[in-house]
Amino acid sequence: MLDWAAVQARANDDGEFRIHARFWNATVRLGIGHRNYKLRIDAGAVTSIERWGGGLASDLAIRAPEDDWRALLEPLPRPFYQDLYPATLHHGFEVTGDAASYCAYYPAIRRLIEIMRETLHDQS
Amino acid sequence: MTSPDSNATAGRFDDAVGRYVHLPIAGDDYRIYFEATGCGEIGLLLQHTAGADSRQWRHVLEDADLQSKFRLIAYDLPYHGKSVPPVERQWWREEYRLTRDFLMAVPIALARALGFDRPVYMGSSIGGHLAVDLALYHPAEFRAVVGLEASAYTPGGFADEFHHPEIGNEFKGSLMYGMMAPTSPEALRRETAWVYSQGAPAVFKGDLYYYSIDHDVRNTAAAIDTSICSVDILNGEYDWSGTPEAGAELAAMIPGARYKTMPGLGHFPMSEHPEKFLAEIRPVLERILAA
Repeated sequence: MLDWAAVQARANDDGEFRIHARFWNATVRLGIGHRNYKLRIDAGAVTSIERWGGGLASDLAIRAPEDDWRALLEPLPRPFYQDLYPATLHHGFEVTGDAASYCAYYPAIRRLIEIMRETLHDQS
Repeated sequence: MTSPDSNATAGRFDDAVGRYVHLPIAGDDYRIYFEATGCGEIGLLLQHTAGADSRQWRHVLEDADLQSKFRLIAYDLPYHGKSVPPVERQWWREEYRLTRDFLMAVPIALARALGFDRPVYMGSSIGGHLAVDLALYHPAEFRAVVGLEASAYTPGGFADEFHHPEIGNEFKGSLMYGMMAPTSPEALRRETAWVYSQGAPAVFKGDLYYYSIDHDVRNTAAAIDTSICSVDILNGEYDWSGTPEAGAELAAMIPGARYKTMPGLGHFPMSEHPEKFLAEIRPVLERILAA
């Protein structure tokens, strides 16, 4: 679905993401349908993105059915898919993990999703 | 190096002029900041959203057509923008909470201080909720209210993450960025979020006490008499809090109220896309003037 190497490179080269991700150390699990991906973030940089087959705990998990991800990553999202927060309130997204950390790094997460959207759009 | 564009705007003044007025509210003296434009006979009070200030109305204040018809007043609530906390009160010893009665008192006191005769009131978010509360509890004070991004009841907002020592104000700005339409100009969405990031840390959550707890007209909205004070509700298509569905439900509870969804706008229509918002609001205000 996504060129994850491009997402990683783009995030690490993105001024806005790097500002908002400063001091962030976390393992983030992205659940896209039945597939899981592990994003490792160290000192505000994305150091790896890889398929995740195991059941180990993460600091933050964002998951949704594949159709919801597709709607979130549309170039012009439908109402309430324009951002992750409303997509958890009105659509099929679920976020679990430390709530304070999620909120503190919400600006970085929001930008990362925009980077995923831009990457997917460029791919197509 | 100066660009040609900056030369074109060098020395140009906006029309808005700022002043302060002292208002006695609930036993304290509040120094309230407001900006004014226009020469119309009828006052138009403009209320900002939770955790923000009157800068959200800066584009609307500059509209020449509205200036010819109204005296436009955009004000900062106490504790917001340039309206500093009251000197006599030890506000730092108590949790900040915006209540319905206090909030209603501000535009009423301001309208009286300005000598307005039954002005029009318009506000967004908490300001949209306030439009309905003013029509319900103080209909004689205003000839019309316009509620933007309004709902009968919006539970869940009075949450700890909005005033938490481990979470900075960037969270609020970022969250608000996502409440706007993705088609609104990015520079104006960024400006709207920037304003949010500048609020005092306790204020946004405290404002949401009114938004999510003290405002609840589900069982009282039907008592509003729109023959005394007309009610218009307009909610943005991309507003995930004051949704179009919630706005339509609210208007349906109020006999004689009108509702319209604003396509391509979100929770901050006046600041995220002023041009599109003005196209939506002009006919509403024209109808109010003609009544």
